[in-house]
Amino acid sequence: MLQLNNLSKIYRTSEVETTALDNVNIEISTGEFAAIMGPSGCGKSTLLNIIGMLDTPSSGEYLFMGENIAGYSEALLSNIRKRNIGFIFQSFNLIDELTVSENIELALLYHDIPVSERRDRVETVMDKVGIAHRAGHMPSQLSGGQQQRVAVARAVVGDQAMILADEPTGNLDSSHGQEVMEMLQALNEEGTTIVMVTHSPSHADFARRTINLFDGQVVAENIRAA
Amino acid sequence: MFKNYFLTAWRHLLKNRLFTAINIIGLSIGLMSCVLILLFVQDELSYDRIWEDSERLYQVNTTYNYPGSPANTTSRVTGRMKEAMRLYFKDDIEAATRLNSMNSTVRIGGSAFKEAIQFVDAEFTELFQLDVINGDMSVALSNTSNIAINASFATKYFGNINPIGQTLEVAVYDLNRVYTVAAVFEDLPHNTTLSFQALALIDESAFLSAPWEFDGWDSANGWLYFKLRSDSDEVKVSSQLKDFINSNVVIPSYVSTDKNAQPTDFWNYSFQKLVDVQLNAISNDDQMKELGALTKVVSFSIVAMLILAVACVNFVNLATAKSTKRAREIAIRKVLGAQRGQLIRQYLGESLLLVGIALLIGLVLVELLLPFFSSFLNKHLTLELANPMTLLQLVAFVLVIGLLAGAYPALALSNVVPATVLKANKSAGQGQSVLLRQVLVVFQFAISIGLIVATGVIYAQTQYSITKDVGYNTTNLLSVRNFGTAQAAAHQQAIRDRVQRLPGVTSVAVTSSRPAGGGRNSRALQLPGQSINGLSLAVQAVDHEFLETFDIPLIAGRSFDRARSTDGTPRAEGAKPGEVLQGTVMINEKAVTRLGFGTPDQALGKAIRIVIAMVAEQEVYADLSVIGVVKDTVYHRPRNEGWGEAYYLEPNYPMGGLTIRYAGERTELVEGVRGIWQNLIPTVPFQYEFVEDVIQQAFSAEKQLAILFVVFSLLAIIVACMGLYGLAAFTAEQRTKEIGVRKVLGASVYDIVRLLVWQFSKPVLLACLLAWPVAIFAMLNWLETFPYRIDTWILFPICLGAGAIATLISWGTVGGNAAKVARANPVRALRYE
Ligand SMILES: Nc1ncnc2c1ncn2[C@@H]1O[C@H](COP(=O)(O)OP(=O)(O)OP(=O)(O)O)[C@@H](O)[C@H]1O
Ligand SMILES: [Mg+2]
Repeated sequence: MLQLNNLSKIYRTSEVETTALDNVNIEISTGEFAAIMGPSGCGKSTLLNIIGMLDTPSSGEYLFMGENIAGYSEALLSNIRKRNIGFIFQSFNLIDELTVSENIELALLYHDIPVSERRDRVETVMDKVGIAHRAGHMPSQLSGGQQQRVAVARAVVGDQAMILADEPTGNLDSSHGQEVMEMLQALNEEGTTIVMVTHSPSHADFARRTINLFDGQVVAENIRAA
Repeated sequence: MFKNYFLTAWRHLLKNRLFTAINIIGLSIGLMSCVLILLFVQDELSYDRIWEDSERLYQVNTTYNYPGSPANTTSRVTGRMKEAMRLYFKDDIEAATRLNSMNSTVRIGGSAFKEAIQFVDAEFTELFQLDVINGDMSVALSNTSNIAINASFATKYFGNINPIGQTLEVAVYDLNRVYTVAAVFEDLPHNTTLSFQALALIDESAFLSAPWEFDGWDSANGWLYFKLRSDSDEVKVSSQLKDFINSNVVIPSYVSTDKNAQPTDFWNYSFQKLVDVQLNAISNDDQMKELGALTKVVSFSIVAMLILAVACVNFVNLATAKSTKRAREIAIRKVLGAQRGQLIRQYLGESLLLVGIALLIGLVLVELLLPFFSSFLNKHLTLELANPMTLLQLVAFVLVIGLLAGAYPALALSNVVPATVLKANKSAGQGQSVLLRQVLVVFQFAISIGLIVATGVIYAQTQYSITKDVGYNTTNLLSVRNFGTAQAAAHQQAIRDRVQRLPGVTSVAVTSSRPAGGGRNSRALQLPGQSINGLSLAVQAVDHEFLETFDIPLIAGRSFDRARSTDGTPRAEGAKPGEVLQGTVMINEKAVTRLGFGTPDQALGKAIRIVIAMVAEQEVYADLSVIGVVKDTVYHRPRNEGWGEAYYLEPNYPMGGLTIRYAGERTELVEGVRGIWQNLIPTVPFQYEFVEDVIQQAFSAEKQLAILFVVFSLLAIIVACMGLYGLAAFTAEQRTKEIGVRKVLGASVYDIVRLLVWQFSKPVLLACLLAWPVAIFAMLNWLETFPYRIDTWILFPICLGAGAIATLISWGTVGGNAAKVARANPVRALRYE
């Protein structure tokens, strides 16, 4: 699916220079479920943002589906992104002014999909994450777990091949966290590639592969037997 | 896609009620003001464009240019000018017509009325097209006993009877003729500088006893308009004008006896496109109607734009203030694949939606206010929504304002970097928009302060003009019109004497011209033993009670004395050709200076020489020695400066003014005078006015300007206040946590209110520094247009006052929010993180 070669990211501000990622080499194949772990500030989110093309590396190579995306224009990147990658955030990031179904539909708006098909897809995915009975609610009327389910639905409604999740359970209690993890696992079993950042070892266990970061470097990788 | 944009926009508007309300109300008020002022401006610009070939119509002006006194231009010309121009410029002028209203009385069925009858030439219809309802204009103007009247004239006097063929009697000077109505035309629209109720063909032979109306070169009593041929041009006529004047105009010997002098040394004629007269007249004096002023049009346009600018600033300020919140939405949209262009379009669409809503509300307000606005301006303004031009303008309004207000927020927001916004609870880089907001708040305050200064100056100047000392006591003075008409002339003495005996009447003066009645009659004069050409003074013929009635102080010498039979101008009867008779005269202070007589006391005993008659083609002179010097007055035109004037006690001089000083009640007095008048001259309409009212009215244009300025400035200030309130609410909300921490650390409510209030006082101070110089410059320029103006030092207290008002406004607006936040429980504020 994707391959990072000698990838580095350095943040420069007027006073300090932070090396958030330091010569990272990672390959993630299609259908994989990978968890990224590590202490706060080690560069997990930075890595995920670069994979998600929301940020650009300072040096190194990023091959997405075999294509080196270096130097692609923002428009081109956003095109690749919207067709292939879904995002889930710790703080849900739903739009407060839109209902549940409208929030999910938002992910299809920037694709050329006819209205009726959009409706069908939104219905299907809402059923799948079990939020259909809340379709007309506003995000503020939902619990955290429900909000995150909407976010998951939004991430996959466009048939994205890969989901990037940054601490998807960070704001949830353990039972809601468990629900979301099960949902991700189910998606993975259907073939979606998932890269997830988490602080919880038990949630990391859902993944077959765990990548440990420390100070911007990959320090350990575990692959759990199937 | 569009539905989704619309929904987000709509719900966003609903959710942020305060900001939405501020924006919509502000923009509605701004758009309302703009539409109202646009209607006003369009109307002012439409004057006299109703005539066919209006671009080829011109008005002719006369300028009297006597050495030593300022040039004096009037919009009227002598009656001889028309034929002379027609002949000289026969290849350039297609048609020309005079309009002369004189002062005619209309008699129908035994009653007498005053109606504005204009006597015109038959070519009138080639220049001006009237909407004829009934009859035929060419018949009406084909002989000198037909008349054309307008619709209201017809209804007023003939009711439902067909007016065609009806007769009425017109009396003016020696003319006393029965006219037959031959045409009825629609009343003139308000957007023309012409004004008349009825039209009749000029019959010059009927006015031989009043040669100044249509004969001679030295008097300008009528208007002259001409239509240029389409193959000629203005420049060509202008270039030949001097030659035309010098080969046609005859300067009378009393102006100059110098054989080498050219007529253009003393009299000049100029012409101006009729369509420019309303706003840019060469001369405002003696026009048929009160004209508009370009300064008014320009200043109102500026005010309208300022109000709108203030409303747009509100929009930008509130939108960028809220952008932290919206940044998240945008980041999500970007993550989901939205491109920058799409987002920019979305946010511009949102501001267009807002402006569109505001426009609808603004239009409702316009519809509600338009009747008041137009009656206040004495116009018939209508908003024609069905007119494609109007719609186009409104759409243009929405687009321009929507883009203006929405552009910055849209660009700034669409620039959001999702990785930064979504990562943490960190707020996106705000530095730039905070600075922008501060700049814009300063700008808003500067506009408000500038408008307050302008309003203050306009108000002060208007008050000053109205209450200015005109040199005589204007209260308790009744002035009667039509005293100079031919029918009244024989009874003047009797009327005067009977009015004098009325209870409550203190004093009665008969003068040649009415107080504040306009006009200016000059008489050329010489100084015995000196040969100075082109010396002249304004003429006022008075009686013995003149000074007493008007309460004009005598500076030196004495007034005319009934006991001295030699006082005044001598009678010319029986004088020999070339003879110099003796008499006395009074002059005012300006005249003393003008004649070079030194001090008022030194002027006593000095003499002026005038021509009093022609005998056998030769002048008879009078040397009048100055017996009194009176204080300068602004007698004729309240808006002008007074001028050098001589007061003659002169038998046979036509007297047009009857002025009564009274002590009692107004109505009782009026009824008393009316009784005497109707008893003696029932054929002359009784019309009167109180002098102080007339003077007030003369400044009605300034008063109107002042009132409108106050209203629109207030609107601008209110809109600015609303924006400031919103911003203060936002800042207070944003600083809740900081304030909580400060309170935990021991700050008092007072400390915190002071902190927040100071934050909003700094922009006011800065705004003062920006606004003062601009406002002072603009207002000094405005004041320049008045011959009489307030002392310029008054600008300084006004500026300080404006600053103080703005500071108070900012405190009032911000203080409430600040106190609320400051009083809140810090624990609650901190928990909300
Ligand atoms: N925009 C930025 N400018 C400067 N430094 C940054 C920026 N974003 C991240 N960093 C720095 O880069 C490093 C890695 O940040 P990152 O957000 O990737 O950490 P993380 O592993 O996700 O931490 P956490 O578990 O707390 O979310 C940190 O030291 C952070 O301070
Ligand atoms: Mg992180």
